[in-house]
Amino acid sequence: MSMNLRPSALQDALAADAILCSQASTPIDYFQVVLPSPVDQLLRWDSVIKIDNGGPSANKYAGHFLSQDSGVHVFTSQAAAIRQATMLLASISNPHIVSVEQGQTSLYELVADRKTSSLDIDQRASIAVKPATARTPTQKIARSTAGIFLALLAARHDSINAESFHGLVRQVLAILSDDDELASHRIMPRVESFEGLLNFLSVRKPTHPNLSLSRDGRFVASWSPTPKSKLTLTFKTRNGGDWVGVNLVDPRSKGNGPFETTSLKLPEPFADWM
Amino acid sequence: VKGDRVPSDCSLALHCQPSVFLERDRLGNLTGVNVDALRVDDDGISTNWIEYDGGNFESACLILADLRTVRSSHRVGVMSVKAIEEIGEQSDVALHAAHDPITLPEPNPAHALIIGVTPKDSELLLALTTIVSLRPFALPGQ
Repeated sequence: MSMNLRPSALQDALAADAILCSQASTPIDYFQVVLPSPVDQLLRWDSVIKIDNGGPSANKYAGHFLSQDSGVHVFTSQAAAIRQATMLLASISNPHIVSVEQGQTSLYELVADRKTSSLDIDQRASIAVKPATARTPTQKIARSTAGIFLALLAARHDSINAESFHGLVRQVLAILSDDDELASHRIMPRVESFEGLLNFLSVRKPTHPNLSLSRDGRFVASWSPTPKSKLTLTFKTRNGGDWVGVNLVDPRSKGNGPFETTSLKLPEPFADWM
Repeated sequence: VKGDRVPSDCSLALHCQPSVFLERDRLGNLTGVNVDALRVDDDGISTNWIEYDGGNFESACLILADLRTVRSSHRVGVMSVKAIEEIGEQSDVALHAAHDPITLPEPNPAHALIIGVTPKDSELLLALTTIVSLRPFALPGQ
């Protein structure tokens, strides 16, 4: 199999997203770019998230990734997807890994580690790449909680609009960035809840909600059209959850109950709040 | 005295933690709290009476910080007792705040409960989240 690395595409993406990248307060996870290649060939790699295709295969890869312990890998040939991946990876918190400028080094490490010597790698990728000093290919990376959910988001990025995608990136980073606090309160964010949220955003395309996490690790979306009104959806499964709505201006306007994403019909005025 | 109503012109402080209970908008900014931040159990919602014994917001922050670990991501939720009572009136529930000083495990003479709500009252709890005003902890050296 022949692979062509495109370091220039990566550099362009980095330049385009320089502001966002510079906002990252910690070093990032490593970053790989794999270019035109049959999808089946990618399966030989341990961890794959294919973010240039939001279809069923992306979920398959995301699941594959979650079963591994070696970090976030992004394989794509799409410039737009590279930008998305750059933004995601620039925000992943992990103090033991290389910076984005050094990220291509990690690809070489990975290639070497998997002994994929038959791959024809474009050597231009090695230009100006510094050796990764923070880890070696044999070291395992402790994935952050935020990293796991950003990876899930990356796998589904084609199914939600840009506003929601960028909103979720910021919200996930803000809500899930403190692993110590999550552990101390024994809060485990639930993948099925996050997927339920993504499904909802994909199917319903609402105004992007505020977001938080419940005590039992479920994602809670909320809308407050006025300071005295609020609607929340708590995602309990991939397909639905519970809703609650109140309107202090008109105390008769209140309600709650279960919902399913595909058949959600809230009473007035709540339906208009999303 | 334990059980006395907290006057309507007073306010209650809520240590909003862990930070995952804080709601974030699409820019990552704080916008409010979810119902789990209210720390409700069968007795009511556990808070601190800010003005107790001549206290103010800063002294309330010190008390909360003395009782629990405070992280920079945590916030103090301030709730007006009058607003709490109004929500109760709208819902035909005798919602009020009562002084509930605690001696064990850590003394907290300013502890107060919001009484009249249980963990099952989802609409009432959601209504209460709309009157929580978030403020950073005011602690010496910060």
